Order: sequence, then structure tokens, then C-alpha cells
Amino acid sequence: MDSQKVDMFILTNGRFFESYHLGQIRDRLLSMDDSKWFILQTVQFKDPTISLIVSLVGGTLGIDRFLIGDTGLGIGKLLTCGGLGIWTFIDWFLIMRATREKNMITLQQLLY
Amino acid sequence: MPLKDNRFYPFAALSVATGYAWLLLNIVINHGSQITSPGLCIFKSVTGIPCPSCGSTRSVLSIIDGDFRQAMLHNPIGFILALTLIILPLWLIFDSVTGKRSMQNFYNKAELYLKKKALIVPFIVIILAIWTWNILKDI
Repeated sequence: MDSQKVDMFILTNGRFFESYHLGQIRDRLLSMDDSKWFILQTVQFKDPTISLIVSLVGGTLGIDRFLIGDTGLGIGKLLTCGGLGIWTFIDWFLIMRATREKNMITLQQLLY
Repeated sequence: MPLKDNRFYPFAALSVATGYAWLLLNIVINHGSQITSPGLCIFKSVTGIPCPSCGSTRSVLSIIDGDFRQAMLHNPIGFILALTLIILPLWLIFDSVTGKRSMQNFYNKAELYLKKKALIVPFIVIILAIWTWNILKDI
């Protein structure tokens, strides 16, 4: 793929991924076929900031975990009143990273 | 999506340990007396409205007493939690002895299954019903 296109993708979507993922993503995209560019543009990523807001507001009910697709953990959080409040608190710090890793998994399904 | 492989069992073990510690604390503090639970719920502290799982500690304590009717009145979720607290440690021991990852495999499968609309919609309806009941009885 054209390096200009790849850099554009990184610029617009870089905030959805962990910084250490970006090099790997760039390498992979460069070696990819140009026909995948359109599909790449249509992939929807979850915004880490949104999940942090959701976590702050609805963390006790596990809504943040439901949002990023961790249904099992979401139910666990919901039924235990946010893991006795402890888990809610810990997730305020973990949820942004978890979201970015979910995005990486989404992208990996396309890349490999 | 499943939890990362190496984090699953420590997390499960920690959850069970915390659950039992919390239960033990509650038994020591207010078993048989009229003192209410310390109230960890952030949702209830902030909004003043009980959350769907408020009252489940009291419910589990009632189950230990053998008073299933009272447990049901406190919060039906208590039954699920009590069952989890019994099954999970046994399953953890089974997996650690046999070296299998049966619990993790089950969790991953169950999670995929739970994402189906036919299951998640009734689940949400039940939770909302419990929540409404909780608010009405002002637990």
C-alpha cells in the first residue's frame, strides 16, 4: 500500500491504538494490497475517551465492559455491584488501554 | 472477546477470594444484628438510588441462614452469586489439579453465546425488573 495512505490512516486513527502497536500496524499496512484500503476505511473503532466517560458514569453497572465487547466481564461487574466498587475503581484506569487493545484485535482480523 | 490467556485464572481466583473475604467480613460485622451493610456501592452513594445488585450480600447471608424466602425478598441475584461462590472454587481446584483449561474454554464459549439477542434481551429485562423492584422497596 502507498506510504502516503498508510500515514494518513495512522494520523487519523492513531489515537485508537497503543503507541507500541503503531509501528507494527504501519509495517503490515505497507506490505498489504491496495484493494484493502476501502475496507480499512470502513472499519469502526471504539474511542478510548468515550469508554472512559462511560466507565466514570456507568462503571458500577459494567456498562463500560459491555461497550467494548467484554460481555462476560460486564455481567460479572453488573451482578457484583461493580466488583464491590473496587473493580469499578480499577477499571477507570484500565479501560482506555483495554479499548485500544480491543481495537487492535478488530484491526488484526482485517490485517491477517 | 476473551480475556488474555495468562490473566484469566489469577483474575478468577482473586475474584473468588475477594468474594469470600467480603462475605466473611459481613458475617463478622452484622450477622444476627440489625446493623446494615457498610455500603460499598458507588452508584447508591452518588445517586441515592439502589443499583440492580444492591441487597445481594444480605441475600447471600440469608441463604447461609437457610432462609431462602428472605433471600429472594432481598435480591434474587444473591442465588446466582451464592452458586458462583460454590462452583467457582471447585472448578478452579479441578482445573489446577488436572492442568486443563476447561473453565476458560467454558467462559469463552459462554461469552460468544451471551452475545446472541435471544439471550441478552431476556437478561436485560430480568435485570431491569430486579432494579425496579429494588428501587420500589428502597433496599
